[in-house]
Amino acid sequence: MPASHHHGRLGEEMAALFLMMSGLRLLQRRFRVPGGEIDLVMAQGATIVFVEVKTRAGGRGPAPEWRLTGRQWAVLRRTGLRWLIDHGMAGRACRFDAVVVDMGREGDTLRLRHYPAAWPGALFAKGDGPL
Amino acid sequence: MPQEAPALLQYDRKQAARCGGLLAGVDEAGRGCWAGPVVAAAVILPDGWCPKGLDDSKKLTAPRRDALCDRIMAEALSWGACAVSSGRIDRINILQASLEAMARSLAKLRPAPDLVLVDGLHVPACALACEAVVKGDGTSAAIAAASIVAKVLRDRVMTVVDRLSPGYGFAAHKGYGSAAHQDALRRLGPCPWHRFSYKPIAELDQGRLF
Repeated sequence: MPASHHHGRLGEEMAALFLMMSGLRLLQRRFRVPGGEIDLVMAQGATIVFVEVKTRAGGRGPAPEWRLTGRQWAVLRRTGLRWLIDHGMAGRACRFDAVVVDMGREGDTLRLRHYPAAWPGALFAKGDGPL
Repeated sequence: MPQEAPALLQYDRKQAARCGGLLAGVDEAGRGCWAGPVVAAAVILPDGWCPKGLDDSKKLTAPRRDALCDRIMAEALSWGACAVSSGRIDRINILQASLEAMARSLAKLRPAPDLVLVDGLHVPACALACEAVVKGDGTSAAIAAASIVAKVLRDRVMTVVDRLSPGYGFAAHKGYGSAAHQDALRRLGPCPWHRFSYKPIAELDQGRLF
């Protein structure tokens, strides 16, 4: 497994831990369909929460927030809808959150940030763009 | 159904009347565990809120506790929870770590309560008025609710810990020193989630090193 992949998985688990402490329940990890993937499917009360996790290890380069793009929204929405239909929950209230996991260079610091309802919004123009 | 658990509720009403405002309960879970974080939760319940099962939370099955936890989260006036890692437990000791988790859970409550009932003998260092209640989860509805939230959240957290460090069976025994856990420790040695300041882990670690 490449190191970046490993960091991604670790980041997803840390994000799941973080959101659990805010009372969200974990329903599924890595929901995959052709052309789309959702890192975490969680529930807050009756609301289904689809979570995109962005992880950065080593603390170099642009902040992970810059990888939350408008293009992703189209994929997330489609994949989220697929999940709802597959689970007989079409029409259920849902939300798309983002969690950014920033792991320090030595693995000694960990910063998590939760963006509830990061998508959709007027914040997202067509094509790519940061939050 | 307030009639079914009058004792817990009556206690809370008496305390709320005494402080003349909002009452919070706080409790922690996972002090005796050999691995994983200690988790604390603080809850402010609406007046008169006391669902079935709250009075004997220790006897609840895991699914019922889970369902009750979701109800508490949805219907409480406010709740907050916090986990303190095994690394920090090793540095500042378990009592200080659980008090820190409690203080940080209390800081998440909005609005701030006028009186906090704390399960156990010790109270966390915070600006709020705190009172220790021995066997609080069998005495006060707010503490009972907090103890359910802390326990459920910790159990959920341990399922993730189990995925990150597989082989120990954390999802099953939640880090407590069960026979299966001891057996896994002998086979695999400790992992980063273990509390090295605890005697069984420290002894094992030394046995490995020397």
